[in-house]
Amino acid sequence: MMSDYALQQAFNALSVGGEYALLALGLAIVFSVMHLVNFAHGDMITVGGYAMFLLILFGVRDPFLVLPFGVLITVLAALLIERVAFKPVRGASPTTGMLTAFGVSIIIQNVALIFGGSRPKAVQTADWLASSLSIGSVQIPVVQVLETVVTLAAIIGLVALMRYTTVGLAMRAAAKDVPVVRLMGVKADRVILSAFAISGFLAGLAGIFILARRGAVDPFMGFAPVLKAFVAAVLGGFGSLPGAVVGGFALGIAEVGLQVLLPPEIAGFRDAFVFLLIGIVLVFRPQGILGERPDFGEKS
Amino acid sequence: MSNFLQSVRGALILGVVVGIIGVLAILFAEPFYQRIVFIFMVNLIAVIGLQVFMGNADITNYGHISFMGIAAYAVAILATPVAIKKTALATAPFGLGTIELGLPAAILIALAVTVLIAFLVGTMLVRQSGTPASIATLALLVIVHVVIMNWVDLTRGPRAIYGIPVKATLGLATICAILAIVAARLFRDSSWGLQLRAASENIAAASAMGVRIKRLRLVAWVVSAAICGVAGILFALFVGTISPKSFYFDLTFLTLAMLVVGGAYSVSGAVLGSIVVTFGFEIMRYLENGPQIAGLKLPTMFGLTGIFLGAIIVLCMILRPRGLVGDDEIDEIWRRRAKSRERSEISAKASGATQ
Amino acid sequence: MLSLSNVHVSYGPIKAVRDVSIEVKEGEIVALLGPNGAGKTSLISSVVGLAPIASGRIAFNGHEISKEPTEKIVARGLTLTPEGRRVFADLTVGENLRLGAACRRDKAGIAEDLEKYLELFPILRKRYASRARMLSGGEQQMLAIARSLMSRPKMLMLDEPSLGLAPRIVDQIFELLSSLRGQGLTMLIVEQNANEALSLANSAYVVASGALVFSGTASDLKSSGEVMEMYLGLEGQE
Repeated sequence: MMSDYALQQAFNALSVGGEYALLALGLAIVFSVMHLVNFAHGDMITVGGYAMFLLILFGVRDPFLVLPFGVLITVLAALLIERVAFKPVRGASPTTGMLTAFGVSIIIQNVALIFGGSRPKAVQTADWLASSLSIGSVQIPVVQVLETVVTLAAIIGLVALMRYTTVGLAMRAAAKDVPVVRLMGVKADRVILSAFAISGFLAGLAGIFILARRGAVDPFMGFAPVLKAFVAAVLGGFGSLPGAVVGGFALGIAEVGLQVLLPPEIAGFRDAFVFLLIGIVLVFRPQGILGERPDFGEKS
Repeated sequence: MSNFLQSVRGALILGVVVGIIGVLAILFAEPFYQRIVFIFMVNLIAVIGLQVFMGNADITNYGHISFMGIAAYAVAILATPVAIKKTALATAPFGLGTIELGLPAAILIALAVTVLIAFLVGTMLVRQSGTPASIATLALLVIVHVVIMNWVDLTRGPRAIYGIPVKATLGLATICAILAIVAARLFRDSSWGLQLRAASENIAAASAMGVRIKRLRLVAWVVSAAICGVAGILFALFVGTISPKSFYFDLTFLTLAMLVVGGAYSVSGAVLGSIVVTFGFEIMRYLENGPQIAGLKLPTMFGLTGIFLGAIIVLCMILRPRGLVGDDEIDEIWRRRAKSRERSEISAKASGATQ
Repeated sequence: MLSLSNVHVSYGPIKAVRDVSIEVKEGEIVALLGPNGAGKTSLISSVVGLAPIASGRIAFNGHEISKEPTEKIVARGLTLTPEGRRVFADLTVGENLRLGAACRRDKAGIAEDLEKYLELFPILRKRYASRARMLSGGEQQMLAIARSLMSRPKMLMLDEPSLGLAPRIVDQIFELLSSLRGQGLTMLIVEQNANEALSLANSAYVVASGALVFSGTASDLKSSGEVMEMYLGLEGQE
């Protein structure tokens, strides 16, 4: 039935979009607070993935231990990278920060390559993640349902955090004026570490779903999804949190839409078409869907 | 001395260094090392191409290698003998499988195709600035890779194109590298280069310049792509076999590390960084393959070169974010030093005279 | 309460403030005056650690604070309402005020203060849920001051509180500062609007080109025609 197919694809688009939204949100939070373009974002997922792989290797199989452990390690990786690599370049130009992150990304990938080899290593996340849910006559993979739900929950949680907690208010304020946030008696360090912790947490959540789909870890697994997330963030308006969500879902929908519409001979070109489409959107709206026009008059 | 002559002289100082490396390799080096020096020249040209855009427009560019790839594939498709194409590219579109151009024509068309694509991409790209522009260049790298991988009729997809005429020599590569240095230096010191650099340093000035800055960025982008195209053509005509992964992240990392370590804001930085990183990279590559040193067999460690590149980028950003050379060309730094020495000598004499 | 001795502030090779010493006693209001670009903003920014101190000592309630980070100085009870207000434009009035109390843990006290300042600034209660960017200049200035007060400071420094405001609003702001003086708050006010500031201040300092050119009581300054005319462009009361 056509509508069944449409429903299936709709869930597919929502879950793919949700994954991009989670990752793009993490990028946007860090960018808005410290103007760092974190190219190493995806490699935190890789670190979390290998951590789960190792835990399973040591005989722990309970997904309710393995999955949270993966998220925890992703968060710790984010915090550690901030301390070791990003803190020394704090306050430097965005180019410097971006290249530092790029370097960190290459290092993590290659450390994984040396110790883990380039072949993917199987990671069994949880049986129920790999199963399907029947809604009437439609089969929807549990991963997709869960990913959509978790993404929405994470977004709601994040909105609450940014609105009702002091550190959330401070993060929003720091996006515009760090010195004055410090004048409120808030440590700049605390704001930045919180941003990384949240960004790592969201990446960890996305990582679980990425792993559940792939069923394996490899040194470069984080790169492709995060590249998409970057594109989503630019599409939504770089540095804007609502923009990250909108951009993420828009990209997911565009991808799945093209997958469905493109004839099979040229389906391989999907990513090229998606990027091209976004390029065209940005020609007409350079600041992104929800981005602000750069304001040169304002004192920063 | 006019500014023009000063630029040329400054470029030739670098050119002489590169020339000496090339001539020494041609005269004395074993084929294995000649090959390394040839690849060094190709990378150097790509790094200089990268510098033209990154150094002047101050936008980090991850997409330059895609122009190397486009040019290499174009020349390969045009110049490979029909006999080979019959088995390798039998289904090529536009009748490309049945034509075989002479090298000069193939090279010119390849460069023209590269410049045209760069122009089209550039008109979209220059509307963005800063981080979104950088991400767009990264997207470009991915798009070009996806197209090469999937347009199997034209490119053989993931499989290599072989049988490209091996006509490039180390001498030719050296000459091209020197010309690239001169071109990049002249662009940097031209009024376009000056305006672009001034605007990149000052956002308010950039917004006041408005449309003009976009046009200047586009010029730098296209010049940069053309120089990278030369590198790609040389590569194809030297190695004789190309595949998509030759023009993807590995080479992007390597050339970016070279430029960043030397300093993106000067041609001198591009040259120095290429030399320094090539040395380090070759040593790491030797170690990576698990060599026998003093009777000790080291384990193979694929990934060591990557860690090296990542580590030098991070260290460089922390310790010397504007690279080894910094903001000015080497000859400018020398001239300034000579002047201040002169001045201090004069003042020393003057104070000596009063005593 | 606050004492600066021989403070120098420099940005790289540029010296913004040279050898300035200032004393502010508890309960006192001190005016720091001088022409545009004299180094007033650099000086008070350096007090809260937002401008680089090249040399000199700054003590607040007997603690040496010249090397402390901004957030620690604020926690000690010394804060600054910066030039140009710099309210958090995307946050609501309420959120701005809550963030002002970020360094405090006493929930009840915070709620009490919030109520107190909403009483003192009725306009903020009216616009409590609006984003700060929607406020007029004068309203933003009131928000900025209230936000600073939410940290319950022992001493408040204000940088150009009347800048860019209509005369009627300037009067309102100074009335408000005067009522804060009545509550015993120590203040250091940087102003170009010397007359208004001097009507409120006990003592005054004048800086020009980064150096101190006058220090004394407010009435001394008013009667010193030369200083008033040369540096502040005003007629002295001779």
